[in-house]
Amino acid sequence: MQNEFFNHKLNITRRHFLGKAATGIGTLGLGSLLMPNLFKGDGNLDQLPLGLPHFAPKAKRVIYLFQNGAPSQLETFDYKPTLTKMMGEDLPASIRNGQRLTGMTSKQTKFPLMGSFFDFKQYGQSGAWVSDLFPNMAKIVDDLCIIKTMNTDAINHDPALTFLQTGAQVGNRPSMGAWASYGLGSENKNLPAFCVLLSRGRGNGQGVYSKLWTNGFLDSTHQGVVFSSGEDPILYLNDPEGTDKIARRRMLDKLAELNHLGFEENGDPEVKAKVQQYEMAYRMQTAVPELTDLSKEPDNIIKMYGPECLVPGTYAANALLARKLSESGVRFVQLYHQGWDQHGNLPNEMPLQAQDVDRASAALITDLKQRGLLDETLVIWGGEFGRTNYCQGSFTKDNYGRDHHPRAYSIWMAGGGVKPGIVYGETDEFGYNIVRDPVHIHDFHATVMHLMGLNHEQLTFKHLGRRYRLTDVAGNVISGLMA
Amino acid sequence: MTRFYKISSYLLLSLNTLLLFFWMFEEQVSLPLWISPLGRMHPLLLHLPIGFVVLLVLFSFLKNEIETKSYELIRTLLLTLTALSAAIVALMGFFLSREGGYDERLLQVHKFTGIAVSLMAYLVIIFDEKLISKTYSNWAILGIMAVAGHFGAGITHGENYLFEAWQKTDITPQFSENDPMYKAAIFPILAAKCVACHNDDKTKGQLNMSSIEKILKGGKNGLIWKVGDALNSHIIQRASLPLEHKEHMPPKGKQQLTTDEIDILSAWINEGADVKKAFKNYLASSETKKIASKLVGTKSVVKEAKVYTFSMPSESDLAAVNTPFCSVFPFATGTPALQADFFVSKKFDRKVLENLSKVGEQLVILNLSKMPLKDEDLSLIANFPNLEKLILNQTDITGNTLEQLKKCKNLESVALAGTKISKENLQKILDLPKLKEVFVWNTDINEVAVNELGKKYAKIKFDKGGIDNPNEILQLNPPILVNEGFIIKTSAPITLKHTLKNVKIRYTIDGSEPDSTTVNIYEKPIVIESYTKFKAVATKENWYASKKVEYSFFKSSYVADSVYLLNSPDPKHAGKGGTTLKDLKKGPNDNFGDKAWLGYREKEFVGLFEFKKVQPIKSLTISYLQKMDSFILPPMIIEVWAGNNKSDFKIIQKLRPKQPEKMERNANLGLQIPFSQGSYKMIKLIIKPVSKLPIWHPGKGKKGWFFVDEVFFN
Repeated sequence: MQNEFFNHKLNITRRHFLGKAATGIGTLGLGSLLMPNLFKGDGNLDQLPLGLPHFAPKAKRVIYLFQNGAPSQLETFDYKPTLTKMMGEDLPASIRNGQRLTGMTSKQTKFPLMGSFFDFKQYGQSGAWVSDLFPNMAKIVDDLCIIKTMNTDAINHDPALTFLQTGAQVGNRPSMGAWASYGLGSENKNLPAFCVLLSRGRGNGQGVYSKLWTNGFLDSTHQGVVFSSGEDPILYLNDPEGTDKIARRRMLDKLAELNHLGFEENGDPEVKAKVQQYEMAYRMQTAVPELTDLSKEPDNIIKMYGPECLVPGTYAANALLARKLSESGVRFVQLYHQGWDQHGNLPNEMPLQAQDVDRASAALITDLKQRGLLDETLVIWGGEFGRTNYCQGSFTKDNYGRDHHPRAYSIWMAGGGVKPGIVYGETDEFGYNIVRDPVHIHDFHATVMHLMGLNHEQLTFKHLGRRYRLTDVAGNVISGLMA
Repeated sequence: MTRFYKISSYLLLSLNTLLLFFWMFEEQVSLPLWISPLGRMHPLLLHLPIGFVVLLVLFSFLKNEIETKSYELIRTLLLTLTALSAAIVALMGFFLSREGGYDERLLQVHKFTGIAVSLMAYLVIIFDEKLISKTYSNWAILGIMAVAGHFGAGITHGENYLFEAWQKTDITPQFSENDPMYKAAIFPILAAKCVACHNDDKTKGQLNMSSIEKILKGGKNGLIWKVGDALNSHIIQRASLPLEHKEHMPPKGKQQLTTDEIDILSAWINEGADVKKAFKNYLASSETKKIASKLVGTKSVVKEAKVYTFSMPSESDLAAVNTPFCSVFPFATGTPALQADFFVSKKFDRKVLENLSKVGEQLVILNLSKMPLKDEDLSLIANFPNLEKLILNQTDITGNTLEQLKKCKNLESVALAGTKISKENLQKILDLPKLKEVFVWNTDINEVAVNELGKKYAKIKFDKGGIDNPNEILQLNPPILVNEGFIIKTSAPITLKHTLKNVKIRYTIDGSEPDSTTVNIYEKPIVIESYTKFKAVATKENWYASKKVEYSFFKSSYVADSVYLLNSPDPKHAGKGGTTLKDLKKGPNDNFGDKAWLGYREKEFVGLFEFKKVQPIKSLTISYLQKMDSFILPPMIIEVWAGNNKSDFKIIQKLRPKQPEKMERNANLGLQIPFSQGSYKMIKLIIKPVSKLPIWHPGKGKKGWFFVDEVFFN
């Protein structure tokens, strides 16, 4: 029996074969009519060339003034007189509407509403409300686009920070700056495309970690380079004593040859990345001293940023350095200013934090503007989430604290194709829920990328069998924010 | 089975009669509420007769394969089922049609053909014997069924449902910012929600909305909107009525307007209902534009990106003009326009700028800020005819040759901040036809001149930048200490600096408080001879003096070769034993747990310092910690013994340091103890901690601590 089956298969003639094959091919042909991409194979056909914007960008560069720890929206830009009127009353359950709590307030039985300790006034032609904490930002409010309806998925610092910086709450995805570097390349080949500057305020602080400026699965050339707060902002950039420029050049050339041999043997792209980084470091030896030299800055610039800007490692110094880096073609300058986590003692800590950042942030906008650079530089100011409209723990009239609140918070953007002098979105009278025009973190990412001339759906990187993008599978460009 | 046919023949008769009756007296029929679910099952059950009739037709192909009797049996059954289900479904359809809200024209055709199916099937059964061909009759039922089905589907899915994909070519309409708002955001809503009933074929309420001209003619109730008054406009009023209301539009059962759509229609009417006003001409604050941007979305609003007509730069030219210190790159993918940026002023090379003429036609933005650009170099820039933006901030140009730029007819923006440009020189280029903005911050062109120019050249925006307020006086930042540590060996001096120009650093070394009148002004590094309390402030005209900085510098001339602790310190604060005191490592002020500190409380400190060679020592300095809240205070009694071997010590100094009288700040202080100079090989130090904390201290009466990190000999 088996034998017969076997023979039968062998008995297929040429005609049989061609006949059956024709049916098969015909069916495939029919199928392919309905699936135009069926036989095109797997190629990066939709991948646009890297290193150039997909369309004409509004913002060539970004300076992100990250207020780490989450400044309260209710003491900065979201003016809610109702909270002052209802001070001490319990947050209505209909407003809280099932919002989860952090471990810090989950045991709390009452959620006493808390108005701002600081007064608000309206400023500029836009009539935007700004708290008295920011007298200098208030002066330039017509250059700012205040977004009151940012919202995020995470409720604790680390996931929220990671989400805002990388588009995912777990680590290991590339940071916004890394994506910008990957998509647009470096404008100035003597400096990294993505630089990170750190400073610490006097308020309760939260950590920052290198995963926030990681290149993730992208090439390591896209990693953020942290500038140190000391005298030498970039460590180990100087030649060791007794080494001159020529010797260094020859050493690098030889090293590159050896690395090239290594690359031919193992094909690891990281080897090439390393050679490129050595070359850049070599050029940085000339570029960086010029960059950090403050002696060419006129006195009124120092006065504008505040004298603190002469002290390396302060926020003001970083803001000034950010301007110089951006002016020198660095795509993405990321500042972090720690100390905005006011779970308690808010009325005493926030003024100190505001003092650190108010003058320098406003100066940065004015400074970019007077150099004709604001229209091509996008400046973003804000934290990772908002703070609750109720008090954490017990309160007195002049001392209270606020817990984390992901549903609505305020940030501002300026320059780089953003509509100036507007307040976007509205929250309810409790400052708790969004009433109109929400901006989710994914939308924010999509919009920032759009301003930089990148289509957030098309800038992808294939990793572990899947194409990743900053906005994952979500995000809409918010046209209402764009000029 | 006979019973089934009997019942069904009656049923068929009655149902079809009912159907015809309803059809004729449609307008008079009023249906009870309970029947509504029956009607609504029409879309579900209508598939039954379709199935049966298809089966019937397919089955007829088996006619010759099956014995006639069986064939007839099955056929009759199928036919009966078809007729029955068709009649029931047609009735249900009739009930459903009474709910209203359907396209009237389609509905009529569907109703007629639906009834026809039912009747046809019934007639076939009745005249079965007399039929010429039974097969053709099957086909006939199927045919009418198909027509009825098609129109029925048209009612639920829309008239063009079937062939829609063939007709539509442009799926997402694209709008440019120059298009009228009406075309971009208003008409698409009307087209989607109104035109189906108000068009050339069907003008309900005598209103035709297929084009703007026809809309403006109005309907039987007049114009559908009242410019500037949305609340009194028919279209808004009708849309806002309750859904049940007879006059609500679009009628119940039709696709309704969304809230956003009603909002934008209202806003557009309130803002003038201007049919021609372009999308971009609406102010950003306009409600219409806000909602429109949301509705239309960015995908379909095409920003009018500038189109450059010059040729694409060649790859090789682009590669040739790029250097590590000059980046030349296109604006975006597929644009010929180029931007060139120069970096690192030390590496500026005039030839690179000259070389840019290879892409001179394509160069649109040129950034030379901070480059040592000379006046004569402007002639090179004049070769770029399409240049729109030129940044010359902080270059060395004076403006004497600025007229060269007149050749760049397309210049829109020129930045000259921080140059030596004068008002006269600037005026040379202000007649450029397209010039829109000029940046003159930090130049000799003062505010008065800027205002003057602003009046003369109204279309140009002059940016004078952030203006310094001379009345605002700020506090300077303190001087910065360059020394890395506080231990001064041999002749290393104290070095300070301040990054702001023309700052005077005033200092004292005698413990007095420095201020803006202090005469000691820091000019060069300061050499100290012994333990020094150094205090300094920074001062400058028109600034408040800085906060004071205060440092203790310890001079160390001789270092003991070995140190023995004859009384062991507290085990928790034992440091690294005797060497702790001679390793020249200062302990941190904020952490007395550090290994650089030795702590004593129960026992007194007894230390023996041994030098291999006899040293001419005339003083020693004890570096101790003061941290009062942790009970760490200055010592109470100090005895210094000296000699050349262990058996021959004599006391050379004994003192009781001044004790604090209130809580004082945390500090690392030095206690300098001079004694008659002598040549000693060994020095023994006995230090007693405070035995009873004073009464003003929170821990009054308890024992105090003594912490030491170094002992220096001079």
